[in-house]
Amino acid sequence: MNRSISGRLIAKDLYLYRWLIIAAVLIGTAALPLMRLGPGDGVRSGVNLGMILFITNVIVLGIFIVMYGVLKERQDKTSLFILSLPVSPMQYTTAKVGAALLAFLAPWLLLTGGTIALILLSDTAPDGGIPSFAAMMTFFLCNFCVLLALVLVTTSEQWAIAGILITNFSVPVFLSIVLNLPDISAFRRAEAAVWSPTVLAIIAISLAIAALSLTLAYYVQSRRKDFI
Amino acid sequence: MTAAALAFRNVSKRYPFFTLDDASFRLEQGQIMGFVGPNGAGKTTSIRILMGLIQSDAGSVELLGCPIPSEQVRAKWNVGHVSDDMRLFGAATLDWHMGFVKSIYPTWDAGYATTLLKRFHLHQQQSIKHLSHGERIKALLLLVLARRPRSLVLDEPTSGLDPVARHEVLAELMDLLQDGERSILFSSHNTLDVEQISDQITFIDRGRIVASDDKEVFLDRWQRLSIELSPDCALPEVAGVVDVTRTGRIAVVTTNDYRPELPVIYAHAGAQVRDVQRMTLEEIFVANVMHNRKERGE
Repeated sequence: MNRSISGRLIAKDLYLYRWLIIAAVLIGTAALPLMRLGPGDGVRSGVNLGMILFITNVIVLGIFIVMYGVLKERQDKTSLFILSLPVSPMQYTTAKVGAALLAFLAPWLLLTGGTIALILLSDTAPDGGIPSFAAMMTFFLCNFCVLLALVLVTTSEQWAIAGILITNFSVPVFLSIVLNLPDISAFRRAEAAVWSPTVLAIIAISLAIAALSLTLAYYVQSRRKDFI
Repeated sequence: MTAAALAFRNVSKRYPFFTLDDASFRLEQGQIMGFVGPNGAGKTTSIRILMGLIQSDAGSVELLGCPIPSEQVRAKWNVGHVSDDMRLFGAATLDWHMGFVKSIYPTWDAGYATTLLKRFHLHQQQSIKHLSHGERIKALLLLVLARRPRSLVLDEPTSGLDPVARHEVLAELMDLLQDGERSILFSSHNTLDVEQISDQITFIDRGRIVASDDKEVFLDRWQRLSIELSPDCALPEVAGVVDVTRTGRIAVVTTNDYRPELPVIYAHAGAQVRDVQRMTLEEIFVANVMHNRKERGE
């Protein structure tokens, strides 16, 4: 019976996030034709506006979900209403995480898959860009999970903002340093996708950090004595 | 023996600047308990412990026979909880919220919900963010009452309501108890509301339960005596007297243990009882709290 209530809570959040999800998909899709995926991409021949819009869209989606869906609900005491229903605080946390992940992953998968499909179908965009793009998107997923975990365990808006600043600051570091590691940059313009050990390690580490951060958040929540 | 609606036994909870200390009270099924205390007394903390939102450091809590917090989910199927700081989703309508709660509770009574909409002058299609504070409280109460819970736990449910709205809400709460099986705990610092509908009263002050008893017991035992006596005459020490105020020949004695022989006792001491007045719940509450604080040296 409580699985169905968790399902209803997730559906509730997805309903409240619906415009956010739709906007993220539309903006991301609109950014695709503006992205220069082929030779002469942003670093060498001017600003790649489409890529900037695409990246900003994904980051903002994650921030909005976390701030509006998780933190604001607790600050506004809307969580009190939900916790008055037949759910325990841990079930509430599970539903919140489930909804947040679904709300982020749905557009994330569409946009990631859409971009990879575009690269594969394009005559000008080399398939060699796929692994670094996948690594970048997995990094954004990791950042989202870390921010979500942080906001789950803290009720403080200041800590949430600090989390946003740190994860946002990590983006240019990742793009300029990590994606330019020799083992990645060497294959970016190759005709075929090359999944080097470095790019695979980056993807694995991102996923591991994402999983670890959410696991830690769950652990902290399970030890919490006061949920309000 | 049926389980009590709620049982709070020796519950303690410590915060840096506040401690709920060894609190105990009990509400039987079919009764209303007014939970009265000044701001910061521990009413909300106690209610949140009762609803499993906060874990106590010591003691035990049961809600409809379910230990809290371990079986809070089972209890919440039959308990409605509203607090004055609770919020609904601003971007959604009242209709959406009604559909949401209805999808969870099979006991949802659509006909009663429609009746409450009319009685509370609410509109289903209205967005929550456009509701006033009073309308929001009424919307919360509608969402809780329409699912016909066995018990209600209300934290300041009439806070911020105008007199008409308060009357409407209190009338609905009284209606709820018609079948004699439902129970209500409601906290308030508004003793008028509490006095109007409660069977039992529990007073709390600075984290401690000051007194808990039937309302009529409080009203019968707490009395104020106006006594005339000569200025050099001393009043005898009588058990239960919590306050004596003398002005010239008149002494006003407040007692928490009035009995018919009191005027006789004072008469033997040369004092004449001119008047015996029942106290309002508010006066009882203030006198009770001040007396307890004095006894604790606070």
